Amino acid sequence: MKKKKWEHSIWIVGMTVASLIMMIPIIMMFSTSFKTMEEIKSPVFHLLPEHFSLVNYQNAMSNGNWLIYFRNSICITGTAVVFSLLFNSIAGYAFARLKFRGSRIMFILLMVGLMMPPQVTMLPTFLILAKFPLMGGNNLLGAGGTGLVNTCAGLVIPLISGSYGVFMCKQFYENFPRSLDEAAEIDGAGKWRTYFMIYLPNSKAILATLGLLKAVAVWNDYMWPLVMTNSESMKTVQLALTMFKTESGVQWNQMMAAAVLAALPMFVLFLCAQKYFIQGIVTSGLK
Amino acid sequence: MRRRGAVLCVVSVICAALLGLAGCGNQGTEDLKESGAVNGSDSAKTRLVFLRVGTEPERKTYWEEAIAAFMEANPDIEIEYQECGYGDDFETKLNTGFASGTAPDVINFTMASMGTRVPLGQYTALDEYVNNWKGKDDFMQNALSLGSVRDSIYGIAVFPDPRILIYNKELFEQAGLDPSAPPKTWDELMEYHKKLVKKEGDSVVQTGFGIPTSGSNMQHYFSVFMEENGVKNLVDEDNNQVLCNTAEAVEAAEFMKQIADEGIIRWDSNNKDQNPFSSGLAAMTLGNTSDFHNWNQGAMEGKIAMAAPMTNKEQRTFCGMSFLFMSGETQYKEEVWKFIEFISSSEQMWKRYEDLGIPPLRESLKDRFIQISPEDNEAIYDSINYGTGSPKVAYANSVYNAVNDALEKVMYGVEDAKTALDTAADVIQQEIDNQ
Amino acid sequence: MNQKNIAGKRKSKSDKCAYAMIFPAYFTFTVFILIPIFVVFYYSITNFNMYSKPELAGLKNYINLFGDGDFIISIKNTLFYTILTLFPQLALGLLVAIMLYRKSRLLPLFRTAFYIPNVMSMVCISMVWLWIYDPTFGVLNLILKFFGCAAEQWLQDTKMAMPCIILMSIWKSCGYSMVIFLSGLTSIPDSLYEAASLDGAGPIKKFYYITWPMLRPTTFFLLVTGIVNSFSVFEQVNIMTGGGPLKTTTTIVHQIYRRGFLEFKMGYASAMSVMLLAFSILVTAFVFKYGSQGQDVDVS
Repeated sequence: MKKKKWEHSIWIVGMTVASLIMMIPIIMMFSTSFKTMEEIKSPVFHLLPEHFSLVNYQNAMSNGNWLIYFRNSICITGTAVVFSLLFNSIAGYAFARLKFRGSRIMFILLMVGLMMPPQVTMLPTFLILAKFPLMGGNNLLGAGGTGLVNTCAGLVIPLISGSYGVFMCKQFYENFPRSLDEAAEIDGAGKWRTYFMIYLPNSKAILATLGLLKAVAVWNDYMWPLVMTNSESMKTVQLALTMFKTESGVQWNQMMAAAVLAALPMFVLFLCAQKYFIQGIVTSGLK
Repeated sequence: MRRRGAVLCVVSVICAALLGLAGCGNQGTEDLKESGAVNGSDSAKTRLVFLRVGTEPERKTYWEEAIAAFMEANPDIEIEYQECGYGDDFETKLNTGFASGTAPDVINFTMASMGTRVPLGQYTALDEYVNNWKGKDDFMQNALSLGSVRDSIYGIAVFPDPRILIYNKELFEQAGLDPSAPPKTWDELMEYHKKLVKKEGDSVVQTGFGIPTSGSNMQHYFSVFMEENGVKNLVDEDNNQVLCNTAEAVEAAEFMKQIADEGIIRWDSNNKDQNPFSSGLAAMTLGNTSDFHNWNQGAMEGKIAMAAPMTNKEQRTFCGMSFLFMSGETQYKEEVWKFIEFISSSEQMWKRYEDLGIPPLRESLKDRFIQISPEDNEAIYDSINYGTGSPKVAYANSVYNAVNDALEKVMYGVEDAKTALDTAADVIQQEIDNQ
Repeated sequence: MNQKNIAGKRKSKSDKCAYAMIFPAYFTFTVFILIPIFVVFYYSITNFNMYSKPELAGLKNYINLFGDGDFIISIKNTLFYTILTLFPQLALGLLVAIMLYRKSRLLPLFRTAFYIPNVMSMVCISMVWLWIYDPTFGVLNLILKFFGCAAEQWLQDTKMAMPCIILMSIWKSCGYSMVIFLSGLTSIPDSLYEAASLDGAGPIKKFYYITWPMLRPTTFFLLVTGIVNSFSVFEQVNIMTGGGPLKTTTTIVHQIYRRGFLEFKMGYASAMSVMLLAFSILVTAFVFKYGSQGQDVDVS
């Protein structure tokens, strides 16, 4: 018993030190958001600002219409996450548990899609959306108008697709005990019901993990919204952050203040999602 | 019980998602309606899209005010303002815009972009408008010619961006140099540089001349020295002749290397923030007027000054410039020209000077401009008048890449200036042959 | 034989509903990822410059690739980056996940600390690390000076630049591996550990005989996605060094981006992309073949 307590103290000290080291850049970012430009530019570095003031936050938020930027980002992220979770987990289940003709080749194609960096396929994807038939003034052949460029649908729909999520769900469901399937089969449940009644309720851990990863990816995406949107009313938070970076220098303090605020929603999301990671879903399903 | 919970959960999540998309979609349809109105020929207002390079709030305010003033004067024209950061982002934005037919009507972008975009037909020649323009004779001649490619005018200058020698008077005094006599020649620059370098052991703690050693903006610094040494441009646009490895250009690169050998603080030209001058660790550097404004704040306020262009063979400097361009795809040429004309008026030019410190480009404003601050403004005006600029050729970006690679090799001492620039010249020659 | 037939019948029975199940995901995937990939293939055999109509150029782009010194350097750099980022990051992630797989009230705090870097945008993080590496007043040099060591040039040093980017990438992504490993750890039944404890197995033995084999699918997943992610490293390079100094940090995607979007040689850049894809497929196929042995660990 004594040994255990001693071990636990070492664990706490060790993890605290490691966490602090990990946090240094974040702490720097945070403290910079309170500093004045003068203090940032001075050759002497202090980890903590000389005097705290929220003036950077005020200035940063009064530059531009941040309510709209946040609303757009939340809207896009929310939609993309919900749909991709649903689509990906169903598909992952099908690939993991159902046997159907062509599943192997289809899965391999999916993996190929995973390997193409998004920068490469960006231009063709953009052209497909711009030439999307019957949208944004386009005729049936996709000519004439601007297609789905600068629309929310055009921004979100490509983000829903992702071989990554399917792959992850497939790996996860393969680890499910087969006894669950057998039990469902004995009950006479079809594949849809098996998925919705047994697999989905037991996938909190994977959905939380995948949802968080997807949310972070969409929230922090810069290139795609940059290309897809034009107007101020469609701007996302990440695009807005660049306004502090100008040709002749960076407004570090305001930029970091805005960056801290921009990271806040993801931070909260992580705090909400993290407790699900530890839930032993499979074991609880067995008991 | 558990089943019902699960079903409820799924249903509510889907509902939430649909609501989200609907809330989002509203806006999309609004946009569609707007663009539908533009396509309709019977609409009363002409809607132009204006895209400018950069995201600074000060300039954004200027543009928004200018656009508002313009729309008040021309109630039948509506202008939508858009912006995008400098560099790769902007190129990508324009590329995708032109590739999909959604390019803006008026574009504010750099001189270098003319080289690639004029041959592709993305900018419209403005000659017929400029020739009937009252402001033509008053407009600074050099600014007009910088905006032209092969005798046709494509861009009207808005923001001149001459590279000026900026120096720190305080550091000059500390080193026993006269703060009112900045270097005028290369020899003087070298002499000052040597006096200003401070070392602690092997590491340099203060340098004389802040010069970058890597990154994709090296060519600007090289261009300054090259032009001071009598080479007009990296490439002769008219004859497609490579100039970056001429004897004078090699000499300029060697001079940069000599400065580096005396002791410099290395920095990456992609990140101007790293320039040791901005933290008072370099006594001199090259920068533009907005750099000067930026540095002339806080601890360094009032301690820095600008100097007239230096000379080795000729008194010149590199002058970048940003222009207003008319998109090659626009349907509303007359309206676009009206806007360009408005922005180029004396009033707007002077407003740019007062709000943003941008030097005016009209002869009629010259005296007024110089009177305000004779020392600095004379130097700025000279720089714009002397400056040449970037090569306006289709393969401009390849030229920059090749020259930057060569300069990095020189600054890191991997190759000597002659070999490195000859290699660059070969690469550029290949591009010319591929045209 | 008989059993196989029954299985065959079941197969045909579940056919249709499987297609319906994968349809939504597969449709968006086809339109927005698969078709663009084929378009890239097509571009790679043309001289597409983004505006004028592409003209077929045969294999010219591919032949030119082999004479392109920058491309060859970028392959070397990318491989170097992949090897030195992926394995330390996986090891670190696994270590932290195991350390954090226990009960404590401080747990959420530690987890958050390790995961936060992954939540921030790469653009923002890269800029913060630019400060840390600043040769004159960066934190790293301050620490070195404190211990009496000579200051380094970090990103401006041809030998140090790549390791600097690697260090930053490990820092950013080890939280990600931690989370995935954690969710893998939760799927290991406690009964296995209890049984092992009864047999008198120590923590090392438990790790070797239970945790490691049971984590095979997770590790495999992380390995595949990690390879793919590392092969397409771009953002941090573009912001922190722009590929320099002296091309020591340029990577394949960085080259693709420069050639395609800045020099307008879209055809040539597409050829690079196809090569990258082929290479990724090769490596992943190898990993699949080797790594999938452990995939079907029998839980029951």
